[in-house]
Amino acid sequence: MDKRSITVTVNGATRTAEVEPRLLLAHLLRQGLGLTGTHIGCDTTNCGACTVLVDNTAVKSCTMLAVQTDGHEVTTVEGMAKASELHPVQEGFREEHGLQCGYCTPGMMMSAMALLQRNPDPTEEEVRWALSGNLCRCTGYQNIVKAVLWAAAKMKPAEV
Amino acid sequence: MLITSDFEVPQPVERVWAYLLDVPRMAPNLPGTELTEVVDEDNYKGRVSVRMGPVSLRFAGTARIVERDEAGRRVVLNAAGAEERGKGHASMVLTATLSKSAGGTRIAVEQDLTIAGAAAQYGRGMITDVTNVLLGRFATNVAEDIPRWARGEERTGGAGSVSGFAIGLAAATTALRRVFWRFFGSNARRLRTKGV
Amino acid sequence: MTNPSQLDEIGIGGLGASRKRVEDARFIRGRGNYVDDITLPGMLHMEILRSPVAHARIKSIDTSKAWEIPGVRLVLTGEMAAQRNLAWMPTLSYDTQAVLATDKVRFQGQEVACVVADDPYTAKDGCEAIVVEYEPLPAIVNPRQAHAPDAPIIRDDKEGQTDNTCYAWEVGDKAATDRAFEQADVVSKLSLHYPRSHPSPIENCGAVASYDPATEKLTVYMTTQAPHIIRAAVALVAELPEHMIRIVSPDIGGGFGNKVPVYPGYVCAILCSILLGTPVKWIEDKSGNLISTGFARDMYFDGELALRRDGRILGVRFHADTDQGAFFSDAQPSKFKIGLVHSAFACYDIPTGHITARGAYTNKAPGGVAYRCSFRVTEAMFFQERIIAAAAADLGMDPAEFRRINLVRDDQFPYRTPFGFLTDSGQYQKCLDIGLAAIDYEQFLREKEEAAKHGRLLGIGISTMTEPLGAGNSREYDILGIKMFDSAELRVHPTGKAILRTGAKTQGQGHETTWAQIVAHELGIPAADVVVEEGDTDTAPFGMGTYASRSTPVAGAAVAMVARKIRAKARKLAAHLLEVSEEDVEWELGRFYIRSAPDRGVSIQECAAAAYGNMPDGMEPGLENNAYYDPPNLTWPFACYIVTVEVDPESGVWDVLRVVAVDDCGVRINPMIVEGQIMGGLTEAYAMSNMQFITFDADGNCVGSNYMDYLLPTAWETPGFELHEVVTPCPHHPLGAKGVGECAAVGGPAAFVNAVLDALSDTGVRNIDMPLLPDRVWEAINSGQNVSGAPPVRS
Repeated sequence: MDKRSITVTVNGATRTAEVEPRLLLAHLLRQGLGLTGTHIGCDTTNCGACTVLVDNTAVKSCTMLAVQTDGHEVTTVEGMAKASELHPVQEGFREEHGLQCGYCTPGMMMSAMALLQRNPDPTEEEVRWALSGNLCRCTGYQNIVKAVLWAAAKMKPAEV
Repeated sequence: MLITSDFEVPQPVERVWAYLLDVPRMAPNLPGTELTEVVDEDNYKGRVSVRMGPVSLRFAGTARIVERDEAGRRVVLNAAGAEERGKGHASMVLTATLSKSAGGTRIAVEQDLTIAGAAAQYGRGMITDVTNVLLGRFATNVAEDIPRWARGEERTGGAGSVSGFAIGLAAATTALRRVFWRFFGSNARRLRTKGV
Repeated sequence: MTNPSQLDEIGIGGLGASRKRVEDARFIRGRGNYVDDITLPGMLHMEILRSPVAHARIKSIDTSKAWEIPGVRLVLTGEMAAQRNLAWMPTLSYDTQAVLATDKVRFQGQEVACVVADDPYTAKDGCEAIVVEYEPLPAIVNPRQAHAPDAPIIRDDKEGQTDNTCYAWEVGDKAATDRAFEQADVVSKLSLHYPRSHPSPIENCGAVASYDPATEKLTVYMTTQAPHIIRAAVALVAELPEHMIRIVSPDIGGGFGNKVPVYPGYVCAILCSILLGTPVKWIEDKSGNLISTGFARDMYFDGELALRRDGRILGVRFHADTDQGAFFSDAQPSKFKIGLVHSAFACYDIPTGHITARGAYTNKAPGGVAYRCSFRVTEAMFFQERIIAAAAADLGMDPAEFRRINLVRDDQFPYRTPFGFLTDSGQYQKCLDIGLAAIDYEQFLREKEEAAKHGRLLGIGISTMTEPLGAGNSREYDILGIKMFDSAELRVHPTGKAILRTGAKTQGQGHETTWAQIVAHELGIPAADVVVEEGDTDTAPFGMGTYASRSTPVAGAAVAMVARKIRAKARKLAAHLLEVSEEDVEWELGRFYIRSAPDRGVSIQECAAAAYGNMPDGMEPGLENNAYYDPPNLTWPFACYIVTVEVDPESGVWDVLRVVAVDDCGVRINPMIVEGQIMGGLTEAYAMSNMQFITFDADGNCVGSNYMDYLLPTAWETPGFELHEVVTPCPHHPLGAKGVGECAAVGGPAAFVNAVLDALSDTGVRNIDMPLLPDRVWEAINSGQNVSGAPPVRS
């Protein structure tokens, strides 16, 4: 199969790659670019473990072709923290015990980040609805919801 | 698996009946179907190619007309085939009954379908959705072809292997509608449950 | 010499601290190291071709087109594996399983061939190009079909196998139980099917097998909950010496029992690596995982309770038919083919009982793994609480009161059950009382009555149970002849920091965090100063792995014991440093001091330094030890789960109103982690009762073996949970802990099901098999009949 050349900005860095048109974005990230934080959990677009942000929209990277991201920006879990400072969503997951085996966590945090970008003060119901595309088998979700609300509270601009 | 459907063709019953019994002419109206051999007027060999989501299948097998009820306008067909690359097998008893309707002829189709293999695993609704889409195409193709056949003209091409993608898309749209109903139907509002 | 300092046990992360997790640091940064993250130089990729049919003779396999695809390195069939005696392998339950099919395929999804290629896409292309000719045979999809006299024999590969019986088992006192039933005022009967369910962790199974021809050493990175058992199995199967096999279980994305069995995929990857001399990676996809790996449950119950009119249970008897699939390959303790199903009713004071059980071979993937439960106890506890609910209804008695009368009383411990178990401790009535108060029991019953007047169906369901954890003592428990102890090895460094390794294998339970807390508790070394490692058979002491909630009871105990051995040597060092005799030395958290002069003491860190730099004459340097713990008994946590629901009579859809959980798992090492485990278990209980549906049609097609159809609840559907705690320490565990990882998954489902059936109590329906899908509930309401979910399902 002929390869195409694509240029993608991943976590702020410009990367080029030669890819088959059928290569999934998830595989480009994991194998091509060595960013194994994005995980693959199913083959029917249901589990959400592979969620990343493409131009700030949450996308299941197993259902997107790498060639579709040519010229676009992708953010993965590896891009959440700034230098040594964790993103509040990451902190919230640690503070509220929002993870156990950790496999669904990167995708879950990506969806949470996308939610808080468009709705900085969500209700519990809104959090649960926003995360309903991400499956978790370990936690029962209660602490995940608390983690996201913790992050929302931390990200609120300080009261003057 | 029992799948029932019906559709209408704007032609008189006797003409539709005669057309359906002209198997070599009628069979290619079903997308992906190819007749490879006419053994006799009751027995045929052929191939059916179909795509269901990620699964693409090619069945090769036989079809046999086991009953022709002229008075009741009912035909029963047994078909069985194996998937060419070993992905499974399928068999079907298809019963088609014609009746006069306001718009011409109503064809009621009942398929008792047994599928073993890859296709049977995916999406409990998918097989029904895809079958309904295929039968819908079949009805359209039949309606277009009967006038040509009545005039003694050849079939026009295009019915042979309809884009698997297009059928998949149509079936997926049907499935999506079901999913939307599940979310925005009666169960949509989440009851608030207390948590720690 | 240190001054007296009171160390705060919670402050240093000891027992009872809700210590934040060590594991989180890497997981929240996406720096976990799961098997699919591993890349080795020269690594190739393997893909498996699976059978599309459930039962068929293989007439031919044509791999020629696969070999022609550029990038394909190896195409392996059963015939080729047979030439190396590897087409069949022994299972963990003394059966054999096909690695790659040779004569027949025996379940849909069975491994038929595998392709190794430069990249995973090419490997999949290779599988697509293989042409297999099958001659279909009739498929058997339930035990009744399997045991019918004219049924085709599925395991015709086994010499002497004349039917489809996998095993038969019996326990209890038939004569005494029959007498009890003769004396009964009321006999309550119940039949039900606990459906096949799949543990479905989000991460699929996989392995990176790397055979180095230069050193003749095989290293396998593998998704396994029990690396040492795997090493023993691989040594048997591949005929490689044990010391030349290294199994490494890195981060695991959830196990739940799915990652215990030895799968053909692992063996194929190992064989391919040996043949090619390069690393080979195999990662299955979710559909492959759901159709071919560790299924659980699939047990049919027919049982009865003998009752006295005042509500006392006089006896219990039941028969269980299990569906083992085509191969008996789950890991049961070898004496208990049907696991610990005879632990049913252990929380009730019942004088006599009798159980018979029979296992069947069917055309399905191997089933019966311990899916988030101790060995098959979910089935046992589900049937127990379902028939308890039915019996209460038969007696016209309040279900809470019925339980109260029959629960084992506090003063009866240790309590010998009619099936030979000795339960250790508990406060069962107290847990029930707390649960009833929390749910506002009387108030809810009033609301239910009021709602009924307006045509609304409310229901409440209770489930109480104690389950056997921490298998188990060497007299009775072994897998493949290896006893079920566990182990810990602790080395304290000169500066008082430490490294701990155990024979357990965490898959999200937080061992890296909690085992360090045990060391902090025993030695006063801050938990943050203890690094914990598990999963590498080259370095970890031998253990039987983590499943069936056995780690806190067994490995956790080993951690406590090894820490005590360290403390014993440290005491000698302290005596030497303080220049007194050992008898004059006292211990408090983190410090030894002189009894008669308490402000003269040394810290544990000073003792560690002395072990390397200031030993007494004749003492061996260093401060390390190991401990192998053979548990004297199982541990028996207790739980009371109460669920309230509302059922929509028009659609059959039911919603959860409240979930109250009262758990007594003894001493809690890390309360935050314990609560996380309970919530996870309750979610799986909810999922099993509400939506997890994977079954078989008459042709043996697995219906629902993908995430579109096998529904797991999301954050949207999952209810909130109200957790309560009772602590009754375990008398025989060094820390008093019992374990809890699976209690909610074991006891939870019956609470949900009992609640829905309670809402339907006016219909007279006695049973609806799980999952209680809307169409089943609707059918029950409208027909007034029980609804079975047993396969074959009509698609």
